[in-house]
Amino acid sequence: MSQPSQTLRPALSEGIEGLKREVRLYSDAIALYASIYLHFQRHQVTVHVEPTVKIKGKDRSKVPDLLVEGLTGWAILEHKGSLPMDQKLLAAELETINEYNQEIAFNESVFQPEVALLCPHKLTSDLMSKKDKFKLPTIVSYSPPTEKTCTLAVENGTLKGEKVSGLFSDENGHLNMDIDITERWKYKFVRREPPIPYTTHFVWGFISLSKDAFQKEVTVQYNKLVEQINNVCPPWCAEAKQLSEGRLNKAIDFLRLLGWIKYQSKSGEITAHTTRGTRVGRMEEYLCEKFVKYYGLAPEPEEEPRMRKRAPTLEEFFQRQPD
Amino acid sequence: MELFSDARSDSFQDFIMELAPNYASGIAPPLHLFVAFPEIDLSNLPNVAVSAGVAADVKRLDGELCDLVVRLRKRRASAKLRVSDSNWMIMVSSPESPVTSGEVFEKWLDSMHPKLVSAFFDSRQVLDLVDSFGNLEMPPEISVSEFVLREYPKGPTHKTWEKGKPYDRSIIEKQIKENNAALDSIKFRIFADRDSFECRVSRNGHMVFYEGSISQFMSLVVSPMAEIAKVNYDFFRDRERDFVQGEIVLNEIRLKTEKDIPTRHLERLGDAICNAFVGAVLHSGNPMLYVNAIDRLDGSMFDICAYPDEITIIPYSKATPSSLISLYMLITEVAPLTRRMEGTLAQN
Repeated sequence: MSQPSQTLRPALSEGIEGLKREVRLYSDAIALYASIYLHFQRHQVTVHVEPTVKIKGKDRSKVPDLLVEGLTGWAILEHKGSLPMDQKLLAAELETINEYNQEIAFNESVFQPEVALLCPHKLTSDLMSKKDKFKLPTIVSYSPPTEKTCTLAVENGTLKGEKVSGLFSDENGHLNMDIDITERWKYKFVRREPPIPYTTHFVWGFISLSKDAFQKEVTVQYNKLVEQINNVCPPWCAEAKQLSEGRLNKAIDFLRLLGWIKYQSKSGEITAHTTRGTRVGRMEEYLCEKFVKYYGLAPEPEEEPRMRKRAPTLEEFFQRQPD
Repeated sequence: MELFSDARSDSFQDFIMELAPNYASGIAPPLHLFVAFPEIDLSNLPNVAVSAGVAADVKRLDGELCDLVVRLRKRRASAKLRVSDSNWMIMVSSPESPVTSGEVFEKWLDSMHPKLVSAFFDSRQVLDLVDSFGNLEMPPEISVSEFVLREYPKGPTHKTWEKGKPYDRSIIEKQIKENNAALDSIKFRIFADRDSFECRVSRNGHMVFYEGSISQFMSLVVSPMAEIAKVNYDFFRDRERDFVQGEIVLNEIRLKTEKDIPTRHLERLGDAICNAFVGAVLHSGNPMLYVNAIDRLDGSMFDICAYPDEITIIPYSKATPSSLISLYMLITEVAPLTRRMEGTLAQN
């Protein structure tokens, strides 16, 4: 999944808008992956979402977005939600996709996969116009995954593997994935790093699940929270939990910074003030704004977040011990 | 005459019969009646009320009947509470300030969410009730005096019924469609041969009896509406996602719309959910609205996925009926032409 460049330093409001867009794109990508995953599952074809594969002979690992395990062949779909305008950057992006055109080892299998770029349908005409300048891979385009029926189409080249190919397109070269909208919302994360406000909203929700009515404070155990989230949101595969501890830690840091929780790392107790965040309107907007204000425009906090010192409340002021 | 098919004690019927003469002669104040479904024991009511920031004192009388006194900030109101296996029924007949007492109980019940779940009705169910009088052996004359539409975010609009004009469901349905509003309440009078009565039925379960035959009101309005309320309540129970043999089973709620919801209304629905719940809009309504919402009070959590022709609510591992009903009521306020689909994905 492509993300906006992390090196740009636009104005604060643009940064907030960019982060909000990232949150939406992350959620859309999960809808797309889940649609493909569930559709192929119904046809007894396994799709591995973000599996770790080895490039044979080079002794290095890579994580393609989707690996389709057909009966007679394998296909790798590398997802790009957007592509750079700059020709050099575009060439580099396409090169990373073409790198999969070699022997790959995954689990016990070694194979030469078919490789395709998975991109939004609206990008294909622009890409096809550059066919003479670049070595384009096979393109599998998709209609917006938030539509009821998400359509895949093989736009450039073919997917030769008999089983894989047959599943990807009908006689018109299209595949309509009328995936039940409900099932896909089971999935909340992919391996690619989620925007922290996105994770934070869900972590806050999962903490809130433990509260009783009228309770103003709730305490949950860190380990139980990880377990609970991963139980409710099923993993794509055994090796990848939906919510890793690293992601949870980032959300916890952010929630601490907002003053919504206290975290005792020794006891693993997270105490949440559940009256917080109840009047913020759209939570994703609020969290994106606060995130950019607290952390600046970098997409992730450094190890020690740059905490902005806030003025003490009157209560805190009077509780202070004299120096 | 038996007022309720499930009535086990005479104390409640005696109480109603005591009230009857004053209502028949039109000298009694309006009787406010609420049906609620408890998620607590009666003995816990006072403690739970304190936790909710209100107060409640209960004194058991004969059989199913209790005296109930509630306090809401500085306001106080008293009522009779009938506790049965299927529901709690609160009856407020206060000669001092009947309207205020009714309001106090309405707000008190709101404060008790999610431990007491108020009855609710769809616009269609309220109109079905009025229609049902036409199916009686001796169909009475029905006279509507007013109905109230509730449009989001504008709020309620009172519509006066032309005097002498016979009741016609299609007139109200047309107004519902034209105004994109829910039927909030309807006030009507039933003229039968010997008995007549006047009452109001609201979608939030608040029923008001003004005058006439209280026994007719109880048997023709309250009893059937209490049964409908129970069916409605049961629809929203046990909707948490289950874990069966390591698999997650969703117990989602599906709503179909009679008319496509315009994109701007889908966006409005997102904002409405975020105002009433802690909500994050992860896709904002073109063509799909996708919101994750957390109940502020009890922490229930759901995904809401709305297309112009279909809305799906997907609960997480905690989803109280009260919370789901609040969400459903909100959805049907913003998108009134929405109908619940029976069953879940697994059953359809």
